[in-house]
Amino acid sequence: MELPLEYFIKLRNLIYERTGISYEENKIYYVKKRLHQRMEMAGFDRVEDYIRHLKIFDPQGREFQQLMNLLTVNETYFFREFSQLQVFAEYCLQEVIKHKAEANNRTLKILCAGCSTGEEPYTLGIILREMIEHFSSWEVFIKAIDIDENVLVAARKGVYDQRSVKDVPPSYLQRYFTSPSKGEYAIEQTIKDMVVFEHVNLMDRRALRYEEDYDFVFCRNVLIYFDDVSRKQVVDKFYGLLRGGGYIFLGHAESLSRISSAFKIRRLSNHIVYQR
Amino acid sequence: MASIDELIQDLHSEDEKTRAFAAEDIVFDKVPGGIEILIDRLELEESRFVREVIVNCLKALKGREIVEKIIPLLSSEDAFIRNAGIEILSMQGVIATEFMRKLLGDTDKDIRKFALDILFQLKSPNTTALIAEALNDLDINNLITAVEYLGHMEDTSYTPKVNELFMRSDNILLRCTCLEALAFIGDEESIRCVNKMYPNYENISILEQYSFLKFVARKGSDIHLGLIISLIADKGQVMHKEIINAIEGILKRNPRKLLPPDLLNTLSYYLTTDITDINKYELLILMGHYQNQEIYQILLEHTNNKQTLIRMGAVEGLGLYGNNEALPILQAMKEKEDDRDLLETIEKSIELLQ
Amino acid sequence: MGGKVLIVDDSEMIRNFHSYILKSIGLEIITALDGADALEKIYGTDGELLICLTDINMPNMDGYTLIERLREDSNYEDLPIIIISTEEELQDKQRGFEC
Repeated sequence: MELPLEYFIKLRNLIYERTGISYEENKIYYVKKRLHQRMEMAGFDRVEDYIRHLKIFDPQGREFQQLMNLLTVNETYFFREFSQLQVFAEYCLQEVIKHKAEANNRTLKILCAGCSTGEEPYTLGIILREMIEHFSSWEVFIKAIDIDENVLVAARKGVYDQRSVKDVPPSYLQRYFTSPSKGEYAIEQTIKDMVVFEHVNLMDRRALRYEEDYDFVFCRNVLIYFDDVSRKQVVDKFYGLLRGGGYIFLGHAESLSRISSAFKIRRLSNHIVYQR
Repeated sequence: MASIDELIQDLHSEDEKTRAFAAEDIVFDKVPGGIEILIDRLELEESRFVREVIVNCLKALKGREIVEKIIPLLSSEDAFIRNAGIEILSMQGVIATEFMRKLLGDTDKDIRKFALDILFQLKSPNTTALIAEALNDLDINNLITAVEYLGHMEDTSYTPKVNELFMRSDNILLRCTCLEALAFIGDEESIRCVNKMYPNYENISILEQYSFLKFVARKGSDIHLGLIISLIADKGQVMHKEIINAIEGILKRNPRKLLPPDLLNTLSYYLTTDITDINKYELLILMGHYQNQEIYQILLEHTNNKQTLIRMGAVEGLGLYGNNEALPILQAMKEKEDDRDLLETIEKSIELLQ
Repeated sequence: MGGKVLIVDDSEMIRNFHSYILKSIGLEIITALDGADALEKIYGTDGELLICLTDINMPNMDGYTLIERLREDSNYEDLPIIIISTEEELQDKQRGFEC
């Protein structure tokens, strides 16, 4: 199974240019495996032919999207992309809390787009409980949306297996989960109460139009499923519903600059963050 | 639904969001004269957010009307508006092609350049022919752009012209661009031209060395190995990526069982330098294709390397090399390692050796 | 010698060209496709950038806008920027200085 470095780099650059997603060099095996899978399905023997096809003979981007679907990891679990959550918790959240407390506006609104089975919004709930001083004096609201009704049903139930909680710090696991039966972990009601789940199709022009004043938008590893134009429309939607000074978080390998330049870029603790 | 007057008023509201929604509604509710209204607003609009929304909305429209109305944006003083024009037109498909043909004859070199950029994005059947018209452009930068794009399009119909440009131009950047394009569209004549231009390594200027290596990577053969090895002596560290690609390309097209000793020395040497891990990964896999005894030792050694990626290269190389004496080592690694991808590679190599 | 240099240009050929020259004198090169990508690369770089070379006419975000955005941030207002461009008009040079 061959993927000469030159072609890996070509493919990587193509993906970055079109989607803003970067594949680091140590992902070469990961990419190679899925690339070959897709090539076989699409009937290509040689990598150079496949890449040429993507660049020149795929004007609607359909084959490209098939490749991207294969490349993107669909798993979700609690505290995914931990270091980014750390930057959120220790810097961005603190900054917003400080400003709002000073203005005597003790509300916090977070949008979690593409929430799937709920691990992400509940993770955010835990972080907020842990990281906001005098938490009880705050009104916290997390809106979690997804286009798939089935996952929302599971999300509302809030019961997970070992795989989903593998990265939960032990003290949080104790504090915020119960174990209804062996190998099952149910999220505590206090966290559940912070989250409202809603069925929303982001492609719908009118979706989220009347939402506003959000402090944070999380849209991690979701935009990859959209085409170029739709992606931009969705991000503009998010910009519109954020407060000034609010942050948007994409997946750590996704960069916003290919999508929009309306946000301000900042560097915080070795991470890039985007602020309205 | 708001009336047209209300929408236009909202388009000039003090609030960004109101303006953005108005723009969306004007397009999607098909307000007559909507395109002009939005274009006018684009000129005045100061918010990047609203500007982006307007452009995204205009992108959703297709047809002659939008093409005709957007073309004037290419002449704007405002870079954002010019770029918006290019982006919108690039999505218009075949309809835009005819208009671009006309723009290629514009007296303004910048407009001609934009037409080239749009044609390149359009990727319609006859766009290569149009891009090739710019091979006669009087502005050297447009000429270079045309050559670059023809290389990317991989259309060999224009190879003779590019060969000619390569041989007769005294502009280094153009020669380099030709070389890199010919790496994709070159023919036997191209190889002859390149050999004529660079009989030995001293003839290749520093800048052209890189482009030369790129050409050789895809079109070169054993006769170029000598030149490459001379380059290594001089520039081995700086140009290692291009050199490794060139060697890899030549080897791929000319299969053999053993690596010539000087090549083996070169590749082994690179493994000891501080080139990036991924280059070493690549080298180990490349070496695994050849049967030289020394290679087996090198691969074994690297199964102990600190870096996962390099261990992975060694494992894949061992699988390719085919000496099943490596099995116990791979089995031992299987017990020890915990990286998912590495374990998979180990499994595969074990399979190959059994 | 050492240090990181950012090259910003939408033409791959031009990016390569400048990379070759600068790599030959021992500099580490980072490239960007346009102004927006340049911001991403600048903010994403660990440690200091020595200098930024940028074209003017680029998609997504042009060179002048890139310079303006950098100058707004106190962390980057002193980053030396060289404009590499085919624009030869005097007014373009002047505009570059004004940024």
